[in-house]
Amino acid sequence: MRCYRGQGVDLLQYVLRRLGMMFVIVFGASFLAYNLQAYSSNPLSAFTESTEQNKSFLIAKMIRDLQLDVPPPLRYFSWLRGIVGGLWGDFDMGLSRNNIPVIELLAQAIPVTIKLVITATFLAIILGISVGMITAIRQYSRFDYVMTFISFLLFSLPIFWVAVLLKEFMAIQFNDFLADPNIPPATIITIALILGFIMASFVGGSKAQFLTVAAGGAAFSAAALTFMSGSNWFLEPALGIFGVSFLALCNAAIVIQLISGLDSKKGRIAGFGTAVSIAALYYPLQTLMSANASLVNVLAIFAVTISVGLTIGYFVSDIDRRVYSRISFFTAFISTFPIIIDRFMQEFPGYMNSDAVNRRPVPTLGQNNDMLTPEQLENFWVAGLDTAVHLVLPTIALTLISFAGYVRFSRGSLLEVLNMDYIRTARAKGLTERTVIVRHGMRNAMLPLTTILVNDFAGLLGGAIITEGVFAWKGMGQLFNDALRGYDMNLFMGVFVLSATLTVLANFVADLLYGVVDPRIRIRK
Amino acid sequence: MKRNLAIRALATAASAALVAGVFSVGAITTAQAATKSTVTLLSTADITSLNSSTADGNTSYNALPASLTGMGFTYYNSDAKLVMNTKFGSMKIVKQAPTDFQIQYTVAKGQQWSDGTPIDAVDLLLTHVVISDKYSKDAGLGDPAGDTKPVFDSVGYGGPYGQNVVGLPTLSADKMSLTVKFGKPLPDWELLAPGPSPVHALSLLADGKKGLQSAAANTAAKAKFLKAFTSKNTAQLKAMGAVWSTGYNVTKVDSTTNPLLLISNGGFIISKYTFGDSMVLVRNAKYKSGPAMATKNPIKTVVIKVIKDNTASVQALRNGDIDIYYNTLPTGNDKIALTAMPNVTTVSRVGGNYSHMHIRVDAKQGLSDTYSGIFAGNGTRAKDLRKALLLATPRDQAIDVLIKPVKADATPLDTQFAFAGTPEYNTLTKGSGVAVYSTGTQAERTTQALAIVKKYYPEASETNPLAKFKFLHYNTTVRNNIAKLFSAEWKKAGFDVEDVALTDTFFDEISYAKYDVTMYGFGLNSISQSNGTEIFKSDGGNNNWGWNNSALDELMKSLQSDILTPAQVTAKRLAADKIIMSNYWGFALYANPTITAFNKELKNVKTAPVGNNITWNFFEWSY
Repeated sequence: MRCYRGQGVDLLQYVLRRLGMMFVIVFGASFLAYNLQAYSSNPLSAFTESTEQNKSFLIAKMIRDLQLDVPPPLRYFSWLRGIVGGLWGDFDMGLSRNNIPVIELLAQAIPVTIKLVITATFLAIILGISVGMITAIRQYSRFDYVMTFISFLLFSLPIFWVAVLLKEFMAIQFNDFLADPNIPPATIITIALILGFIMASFVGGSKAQFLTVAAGGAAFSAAALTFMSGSNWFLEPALGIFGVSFLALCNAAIVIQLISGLDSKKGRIAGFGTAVSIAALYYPLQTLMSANASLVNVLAIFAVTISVGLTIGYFVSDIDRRVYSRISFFTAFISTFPIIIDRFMQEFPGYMNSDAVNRRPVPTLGQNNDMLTPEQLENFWVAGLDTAVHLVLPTIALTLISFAGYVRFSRGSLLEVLNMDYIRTARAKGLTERTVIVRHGMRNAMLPLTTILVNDFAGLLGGAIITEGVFAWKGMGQLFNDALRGYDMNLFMGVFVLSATLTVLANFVADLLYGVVDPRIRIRK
Repeated sequence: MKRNLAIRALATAASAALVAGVFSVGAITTAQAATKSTVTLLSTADITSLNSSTADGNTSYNALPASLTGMGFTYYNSDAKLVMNTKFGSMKIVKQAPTDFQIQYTVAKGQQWSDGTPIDAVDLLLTHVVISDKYSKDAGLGDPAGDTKPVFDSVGYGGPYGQNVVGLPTLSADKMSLTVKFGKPLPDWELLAPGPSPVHALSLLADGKKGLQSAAANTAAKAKFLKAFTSKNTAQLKAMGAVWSTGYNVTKVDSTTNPLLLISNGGFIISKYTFGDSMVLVRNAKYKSGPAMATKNPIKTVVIKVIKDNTASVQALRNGDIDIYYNTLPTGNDKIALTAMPNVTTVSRVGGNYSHMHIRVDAKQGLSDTYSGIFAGNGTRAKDLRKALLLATPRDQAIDVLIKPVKADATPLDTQFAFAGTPEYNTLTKGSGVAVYSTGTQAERTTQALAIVKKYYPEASETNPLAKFKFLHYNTTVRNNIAKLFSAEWKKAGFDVEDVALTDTFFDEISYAKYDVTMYGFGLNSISQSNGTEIFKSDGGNNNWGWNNSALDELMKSLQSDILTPAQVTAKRLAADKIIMSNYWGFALYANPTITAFNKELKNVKTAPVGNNITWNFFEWSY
């Protein structure tokens, strides 16, 4: 796809032509969809088994209300009239079969779907792309094989089944476990060994290295689990200042390695310096997180930590200020999350013991606990915790399922880039391997990902039909499913037209964006 | 490399130690959870309206909250008996003549709506508006059977009340009683009792009021409704109708919702609701319209959770996310999963729905259609073949395979007029002649059937089935499995069956003579004297098989229109069953089982086969 740039008129022409095509596509698709749906089932079937005394009236009423005596192709135009009415300000998507305006139903479902899918989508993208790129860099390593195996495994799992397993083990069994949260030693050893081997496969290296790391990882895990089990951590979880510091330092190490390399002394000062000061801010920041806090407080916390980070980055060095500021910025940004999470954890014991939760904190479905008291709902942290425990299972399920696609795609993309001539040139110039891969490799490997990312975000609003169903979230996917099964033509068309328009638009935006990010595509006419 | 390794190992060990220090230890406060007072119910479809008489799709699901927020003259209990709710009021026949049949409904004194407005017989009048076709036409509110929606867009028109009511109901002087006149005696008159509606609220809503009003304003509003009703004031009724038909279709209830929409006389009042997600109901402090709530640990809050996925609701029950699970189409796997749960009591019983298999003898009355298959007519040959088919139908096998995993003591249903387990059921099934289909083993019965078939197809055998016919059923797993069992056995009796499974066109096809034998279900929403009559009357709406017998028509007509004693009803039903059996038209297969599973700590949950299956005795629930 070519995108014209430089000559405004050409671009305008191009945009108009594309918009015209989109209009035709959406119109044609909606006509087809309407008729397919209308002919696919018979709403009068509902009366087959009815023994109602006024059955004949009810049948006549349904025929009248749903215009079943009008052939579907004609009925389509009476629906279309409401949509076209938008041109003169008389937009009408009609009523659902239950006499609720379709637009009202859509307005209610869209935020639900976004809430459900957005975290999982971001997680899947971030994890998927990073794992994919690491596997590409370490092609044919143990890690590569493990991840390839895992991603194909996840790719082939049906989500309803994943959901059943997650609910069984992470909700039902976990809640049962919380009644007496002690892990028996045998279980600790098994889990620790498994975790150790997983960690070792990430690190790789010779056999001796592998075993050392596995042993170290297992010891680490065993220590952590024993401590958590013995100290009732599951009932009163907390990170505390030590946990926050530890996570900040780990995070700083990763950020430094990615941006300047760990051998850069100034990089280390910027990263670890920021991490230490974030940890030092742990107690002062608690004052910003009282029970009547709001999203503004959270933003304020980020503002504080990021400005502290940027200050450190700025003063580390006169040269390459941008690089060190970037290190400090990312370190500060990411390290703030543990502080926030720690605050949510502080509410956990109270939340869990409240009447509404009844000591079973992980629900198998739903968006929120309907029985929370008004005081609990007013507390930002309790309400947030409630949302979080309801999101945990669907987010894991969705992430697991969609993660695999990103892994495969980004792996392939980076491998292709790494075989390019300009990578060889970069290496020949004597650039460090880190610079070659991060600056020259990863950036270019991201280009083809633009298209799928844009489309995936457009697809978000289509909803996750099955996931919403098994977790009982009334989002766009369920709305569509209900409309389809319930012969609810207006509702069906409402969801359909919205997602069709978004898909077509996303394709268009992806094409435009491609011209922006990839200089090779900017062709003058 | 060695050094590197050592550093790595050291780092790992160090971080292990760090982690151990990370997690702070706190004193454990094992708060004793207070006695639970919330019941979370399952709804398998959306609640779409706060008015359960409007929406065309999900009236039965809207009835779930309605059963908690409204009480009327009667309700069904777990034995499918219609209970008179004397706390709300009483009813009696005041005149019974061939053309003048009057019933007086009296509302018990001292009841209030949840906003404090007294309940009286004026509150019963709205029912007349929304189920009488004639009133709708006379008051200029549109013909409910016409081409446009009437102002009060209700699902209640076209029934026996609307067809037989004469004139307007009359109020007593104290406005506590209402007398309704019908043009002929109606046997199921107890089922026609009008339900109460907060008419003052409707009147206030029509005037655009946004909140609860003073007692005086409520009284005035009620008077305004009464005046509009009696004078058939089209303009005012139209305003009220608009609110009634669409105003209650909200997608959210919260603190901003107009409280006039939520006024209730039931045990509970809606406090929170999100379309497609859940509804929260809290106790109605003014509740007096039904039996008193349990005194010890009664229910204070009811949550209705919408879960459409069956596996999800089973797991939700296990995790305590819901307290009562109810399934009208359970499978053996559901039963296994539920009985394995430590925290749950599982009860299987038969519901108001049953499956049946019926044989066509003629085209359906009123259709320009003809039938000439092997079962056509009432000649000896057709009757013999029908009898052979019924003999060779392995009802027990189908029940063993499909029903017993859910309800271990299931038996074939032997009459379509009564519930199994009732004395009437025993009388009917002993005398009707249905017993031949349970006598001996299936193999013996199939052998008898083959002998009959051989009379007309001497060459017929299992390997050479000759008596050709088409068998129609729904394309569902259960139906397909039954059809497989049946077809195999029928073949042994010499029948050559073509098994047709349809999904979306089934409804269009069952009435037509393209198929010889059909199997599907019938559902009962009420227990009435006229139950089943529309199936067996020659012009009955549910008689799709051209059955026609004048003696039977007489019996059905009597059941539909005469006021009879229970003994007379049983006698007529027995006579009817005898005719049905001697004509070999078909039989019921089994009553569909239902499963209820609920939190072990919740007491007095009893499922009713008809009516408000789960919630009918909410007042008895307690922890």
